[in-house]
Formats: sequence, structure tokens, C-alpha cells
Amino acid sequence: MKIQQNYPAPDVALTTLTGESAALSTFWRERRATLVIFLRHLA
Amino acid sequence: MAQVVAHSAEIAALDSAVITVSFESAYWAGVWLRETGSSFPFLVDPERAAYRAYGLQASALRSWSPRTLWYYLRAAWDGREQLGKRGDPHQLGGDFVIDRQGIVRLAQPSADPLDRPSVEQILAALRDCPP
Repeated sequence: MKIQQNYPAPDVALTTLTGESAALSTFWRERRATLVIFLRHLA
Repeated sequence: MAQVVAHSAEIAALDSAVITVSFESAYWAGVWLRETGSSFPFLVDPERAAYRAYGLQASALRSWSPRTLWYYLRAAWDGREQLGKRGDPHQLGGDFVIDRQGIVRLAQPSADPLDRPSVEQILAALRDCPP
């Protein structure tokens, strides 16, 4: 699925490091903008 | 990531936040956070649901391109610290700026491991978001 500019972002529920569920939208709703960085492997 | 960290005050001044997502386990995420000193919120996605939703692919061919191999060779030659091989090295990442209404303002799925927007592009996208 190609994500395009000016279209709605997928809202996905992820997990915090303390094991809680967190939807991406809970971050972007709180601020003007959110930069989401998807990492490669952690090396 | 280092350039984003270096501009974190400027990003915060734009009423913006940074979150990092990894498909690795919470354990390795904790190790990585201690090693890198990143203070951004960190979410894990071991099933890669978000990676798929954002169109982020795994590609051995693109992960080990000549450009990438040359980068790692130079890093090793320069003595830059390598954190070691962990997890799936073929999963590519990406960067997205999303505004308050949930609209994508910058979409850059990485074509290869070195393909990331410049910090200037990121800041410009953040500034373009409505207040």
C-alpha cells in the first residue's frame, strides 16, 4: 500500500515499551505535527 | 536519526513530536535506546502491521545495494561504532510527517537503507502543517 501525501495516515495500534497499547493517532492528535520514524533493524 | 535528535528543540518549537517505531522486541528496543541515547517515544511493532500499513517493504536486494555496502565499508574504515547485527537487516524503514488531522504531509518510505529525508525536508514539512 503506497502512502501518499495529503491523504489520511493509517492509524495503527502499536505497543509501548511498558507493554501498553498506543494508537498512532493518539500522538498526532496532540500536536501540530508528528514525525514518525520507522527504523530498520536496531543496529 | 542523529540529525533529528540534533534538531529536537527546533522540532518541539514547531509544536511537533517525534516517535520511533521498530519491529524488534521491547528488549532490543531498550538496548538500542541506551546505546543511542534517544529520548523520543518508542513503539514496537513485532507483527509489522504498521510497516505494512505504511508500505514499508523488506528487500534483500535494496538492503545490500552497492551504495549501502560502500557506506558500511566507509563506516568501518572510519572506525565508526557499529552496534552489531540484530534482527532482520532487510526490512526497510521510512519517515512520515502527519498533521493534527491525521493527514500525511511527508511520505518517504526508504528505497534503500540510506534513503531518508534531510532534516531540512522534515522541518519544512512540519512548518507546512496547519497549527
